[in-house]
Amino acid sequence: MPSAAHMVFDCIQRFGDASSNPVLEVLKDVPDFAQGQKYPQPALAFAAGCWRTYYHSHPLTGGGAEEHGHFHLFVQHDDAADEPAWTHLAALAMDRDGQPLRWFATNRWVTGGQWGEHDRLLSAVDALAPMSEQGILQQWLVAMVQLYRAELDALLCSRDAQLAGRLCACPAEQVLADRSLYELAQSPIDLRSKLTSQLRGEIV
Amino acid sequence: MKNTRRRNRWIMGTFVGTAAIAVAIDHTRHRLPEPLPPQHSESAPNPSAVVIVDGDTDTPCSLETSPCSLEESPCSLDETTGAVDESPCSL
Repeated sequence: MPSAAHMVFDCIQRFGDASSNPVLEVLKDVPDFAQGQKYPQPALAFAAGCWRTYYHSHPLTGGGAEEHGHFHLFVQHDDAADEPAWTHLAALAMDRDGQPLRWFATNRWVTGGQWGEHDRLLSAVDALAPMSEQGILQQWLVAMVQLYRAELDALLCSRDAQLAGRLCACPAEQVLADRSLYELAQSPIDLRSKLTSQLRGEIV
Repeated sequence: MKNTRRRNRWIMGTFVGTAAIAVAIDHTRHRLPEPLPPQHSESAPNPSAVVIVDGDTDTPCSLETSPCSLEESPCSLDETTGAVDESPCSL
């Protein structure tokens, strides 16, 4: 079974063959990409419908001028009763050339849904299977999530640490709805270095 | 001698992999379209606010067709509207 690094590399090669990248894949049939809109609509399902993602662009991010937009990644909440509830794992910011820039975690008010506990989110990540995905974008997203599992683990720890102090002083609902807290943690991405370190010594 | 040969093979593998990765990534570098500005926007007065598109039937940050679309007022992201329950990046 190919590693996550191999899967990401394979997707990159196929994106390149098509003169595309993950964001262009999302926007390929979009005549006018508009700030604030979500692409696609409805959100792209993957992992047998247990995950959803969309891409959008808006000014409220910490990525600065080099950030074009970001994918929000959601996983279905296990305890959903009648209607599925969604939990936000993280956002994957992309630069203006369609390259992954950083992961970031947001406060709950930003994405709504159920608040994702660290261990539960990582379990959902571990359950992903890149090979089972049909589309190249879904494969790339799943492989990226698994390739950066350790960073996402640390990201969620940082997220929780950021909230921990406030939770001592305020009720959780108040903290998770605090609009002065947008991004709680981030983790930069250097995909070239990551793949190089993961694929070192292998014939790719 | 045997160890040297093995080391050389390992170095060659690293070199090929690094080059292939760099080239492959470069082939995916394509300038993305600049997002069009929202038709109607409100700039919030503080850094925690979000620019809001006040569409006729939808909001920029909630998908009506999604399982978790928010049914509350579509333009409640801005604290100045008085509504603070909307999630700008929900499904």
